[in-house]
Amino acid sequence: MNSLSNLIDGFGTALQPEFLLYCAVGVLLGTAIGVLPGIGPALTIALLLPLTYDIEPTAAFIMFAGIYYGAMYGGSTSSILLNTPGESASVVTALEGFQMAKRGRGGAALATAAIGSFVAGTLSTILITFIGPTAGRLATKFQPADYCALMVLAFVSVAALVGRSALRGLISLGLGLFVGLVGIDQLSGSARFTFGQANLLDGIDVVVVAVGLFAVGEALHAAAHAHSPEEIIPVNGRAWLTRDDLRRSWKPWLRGTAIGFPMGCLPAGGAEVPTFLSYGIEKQLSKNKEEFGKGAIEGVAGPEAANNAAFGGVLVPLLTLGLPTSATAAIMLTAFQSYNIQPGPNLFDEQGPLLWALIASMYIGNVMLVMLNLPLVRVWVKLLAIPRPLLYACILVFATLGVFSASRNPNDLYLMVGIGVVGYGMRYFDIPVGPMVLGLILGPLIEAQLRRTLSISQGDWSVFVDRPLSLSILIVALLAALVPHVPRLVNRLRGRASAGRLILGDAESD
Amino acid sequence: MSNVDDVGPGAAGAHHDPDHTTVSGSPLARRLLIGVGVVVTLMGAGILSKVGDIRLPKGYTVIGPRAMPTVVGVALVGLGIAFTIQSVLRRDAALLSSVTAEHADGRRGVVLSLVVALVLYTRLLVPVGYVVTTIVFLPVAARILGSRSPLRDVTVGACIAVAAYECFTRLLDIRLPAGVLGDLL
Repeated sequence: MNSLSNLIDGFGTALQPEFLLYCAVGVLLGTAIGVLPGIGPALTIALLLPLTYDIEPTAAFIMFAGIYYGAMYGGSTSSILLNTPGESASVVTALEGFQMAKRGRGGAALATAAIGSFVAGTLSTILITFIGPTAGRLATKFQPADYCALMVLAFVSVAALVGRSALRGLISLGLGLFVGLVGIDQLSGSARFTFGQANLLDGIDVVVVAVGLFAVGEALHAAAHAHSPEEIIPVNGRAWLTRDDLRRSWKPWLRGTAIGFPMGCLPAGGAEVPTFLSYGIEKQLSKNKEEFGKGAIEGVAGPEAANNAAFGGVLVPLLTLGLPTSATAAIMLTAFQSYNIQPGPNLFDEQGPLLWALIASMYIGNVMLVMLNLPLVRVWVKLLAIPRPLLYACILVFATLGVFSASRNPNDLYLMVGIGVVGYGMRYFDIPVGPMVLGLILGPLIEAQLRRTLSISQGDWSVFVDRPLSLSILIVALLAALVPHVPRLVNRLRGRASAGRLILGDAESD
Repeated sequence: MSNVDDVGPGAAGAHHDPDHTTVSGSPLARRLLIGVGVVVTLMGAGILSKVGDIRLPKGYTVIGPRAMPTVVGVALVGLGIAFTIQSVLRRDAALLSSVTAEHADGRRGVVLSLVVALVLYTRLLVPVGYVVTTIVFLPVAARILGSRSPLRDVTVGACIAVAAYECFTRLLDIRLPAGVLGDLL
């Protein structure tokens, strides 16, 4: 009941013209960047961060959230019509969506993606409305040792479950942890890895790292590969569902939501893992298995619902524990901190009006998105016609503008280019970039929590196994590390040829 | 098992053994992967060598400022060695295949040109000014990336440069460098 009255108050704020405008700007921008390959929500929010310092935090977060879930909506368009996912969470959508488009069913694919996104987005927002405050109250019972264990779980699961190799995921994470060490140590005041450079004393700004890795790295990678003009499959007729499409879609939407929301809550890298799981489950459960690979609508409906529901899930640990579970969530955490707001157990008490306005805006934003996506699909498709060389050149200009406006220090631009070259190298060697951003954000946090834990326990490390909660989380972390190797172990035990490692997703710019 | 030397440099493919445990691909790709492992190891070693330079605070601390860098340094050394061994033994078939293809397809000269253009853009941004450098950089970058419509690119560059300058300076109160157009803007 308390949640409902708070939500009504939130609607009172979110429905004010100023906040409606920010919500509309967020979802429009999100859809556009979702449609366009090469730009993701993490990069967009990082670029906008310096521009929003003077804006009221409620407005900024309504816009950032709109960008995040708008990108989930928009990502399906380029997957379906171009076979090029606009962002990493829409990789699976391309498998069936593009085949549907080639068979003249692009309109149905876009409709099931948009309506499924709306259903999942709304259901996950309802879940946040009721679970969020409860999760916040539960989180107050977390002690520093539990936070440390939780971050270990985040490190292990991001490295082990996401991407093609745990080793490469861990290397990326290690690089991020190192970058997070640069600057003055908060406790002792000692300078670390500043190499005598005064401008490194404050550390390396997450905006510089995110923009370097995602914008410059991606542009350099695009430059390395000649792009022939891609064929955009036209949408014939209206983007809508037939009765049969609807019958085949509604269960995958609900199943996708049921998978996406809890998986988004877990520290496993955001929306990629649930979309792959949803696709696998729909393939198993479908009565039309023979259509998979040739354009099965269930293969679009389930994953699209899962990636939108995952966004809601990602917000739960971010808001209640201050724990980002994806690169975009990590940038949002930085955004909160830039307003001197520390997400955590007390956030619902301390920043109630902001959070409830944010949650209310997500209901409104989802309605805006479904209204924007279905009737205006041909407008969004036009974005796909922007020539790739011009698009990437513009991305570089905006990247430079974003970093320069954040610090007005040309040295940060050199750093951005350097990190961009590293990002290109990581793409070249198939090392995921997402874990590096998470390492950068979580590194200083785990160091601070570890210090608190061991100060309280007076240096006794057994505190991690003495507390049932931290022990349970560490056991889950161990299981997360082992899960990808289960198929290989099972096959060995059965005496079959060795199977590959279980891969659940590719973490890039989400 | 396929011989490593059967596949010449630049070949866009790797041959898998039936048991998927080893693979042969481009020797150059393998050498590059070994190089990555060595670089990560050296980076970890470099971090460890600098840990001693971090000043310790006076008095007792459970976790001092050197602890986390030591953990990260050791981890990177371990990961680098593991990656090097994996690359020497050619255990990651998919990676070797992907790097072989990447090396065959990659236009490294184009990447280098774009990096040089970006560094020049960064270098000249303050003295020459945001508007002028952006009007020049955008079409140059687009050209390097493969565009063949200079007029369109210059027009887009000019529109973005002027719009961004005006928007940032007048609306957001973030002053971008005016440079050589200081008297005009």
